[in-house]
Amino acid sequence: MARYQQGDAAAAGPLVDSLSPQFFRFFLGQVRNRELADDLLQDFWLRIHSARQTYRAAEPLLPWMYAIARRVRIDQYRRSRNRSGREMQVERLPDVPAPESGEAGNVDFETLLAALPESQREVIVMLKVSGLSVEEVARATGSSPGSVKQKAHRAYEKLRALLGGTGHAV
Amino acid sequence: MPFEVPARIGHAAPDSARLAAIRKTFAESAAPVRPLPSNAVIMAFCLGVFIALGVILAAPIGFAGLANMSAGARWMDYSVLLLLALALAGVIVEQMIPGSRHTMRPVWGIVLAIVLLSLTSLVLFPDFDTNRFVPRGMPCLRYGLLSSIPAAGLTWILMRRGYIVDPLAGAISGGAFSGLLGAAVLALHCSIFNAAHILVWHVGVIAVTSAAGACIGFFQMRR
Repeated sequence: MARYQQGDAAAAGPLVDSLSPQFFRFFLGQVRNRELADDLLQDFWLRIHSARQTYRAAEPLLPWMYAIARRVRIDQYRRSRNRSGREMQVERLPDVPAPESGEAGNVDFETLLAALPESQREVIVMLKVSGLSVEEVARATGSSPGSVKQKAHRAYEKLRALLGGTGHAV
Repeated sequence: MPFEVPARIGHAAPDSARLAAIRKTFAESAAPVRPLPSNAVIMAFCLGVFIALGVILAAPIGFAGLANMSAGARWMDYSVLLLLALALAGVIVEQMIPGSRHTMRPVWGIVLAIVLLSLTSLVLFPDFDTNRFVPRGMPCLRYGLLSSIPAAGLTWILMRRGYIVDPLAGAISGGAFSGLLGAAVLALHCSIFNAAHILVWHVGVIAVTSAAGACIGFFQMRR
């Protein structure tokens, strides 16, 4: 990233290639639509380009990028909400059919994620899909590590309730 | 690890054609940019602007406040203002740099500014005379708000150099900083050493500009 910031066009390819899958999965984990995730990824790289002067080589790269990725996702959410003209009830848990006993492995991860409020889902995706540390998630979301841990804990509790009786370790 | 991420997410890859297009655009747009200076440098710059603009804006209306205040009160009052300016400059810098460690939320910065300035005025000027409270206070509020406009403009120019990931928080912190400058101009000019007057008409400037910042941020967010 530091090389790209200095105008090195050759650094662009490796940067995009190495980090795109990770950010694609971040978007996919939240929007659950491949085409939309691709669109968000493209928008994300445009914004990385326009915000590149704010990157500091001494600071960790991933929280900087995730903070921008999060902004892309929030803007997309607002646009889609304005377009549809109705609010998404993220606080209400959708009815998830209880999995049959002995078929715990069939529980749909995406359905479980969809059951979480937006802020908790974001934290779970960053922690579990993107593999960021609590400190990195805190930096990316502009909150404290304590708040991240609390959101993750609440998310685990909700998921535990949804998976209740399946024998899954959450 | 409490979760097993399913393979369709854990190994999902973006569309290769799209990725190639991104790579091409990204490489073509590569141009050198100067990275932002360190937080300390930006904060020092903000503090410099705060002091310079405060003096420039107070000059046309005079420094009666500064002249008539006791040495101890002067030292304490202006020190608190400078410390708050530094704290709010720190909040602004955190908003400008994505992924930076957040030490203070903008709202807490406003609360800190209002509480500290209120306490300072209560300690230094424990007078609650409300004689001609509004007629004497309105010019202060008006000039405090007018002074915060150039400060808001400069803050906005500075913040545009960064990348604001939260427009609401960014606008609130900018509003609070410019309001503090308005309060500082009044501290230099106004010689009404009355706690009630300072609490409402001087500290009130910070509340008004922060609220204005919140409104701007809210509309920017909904754009």
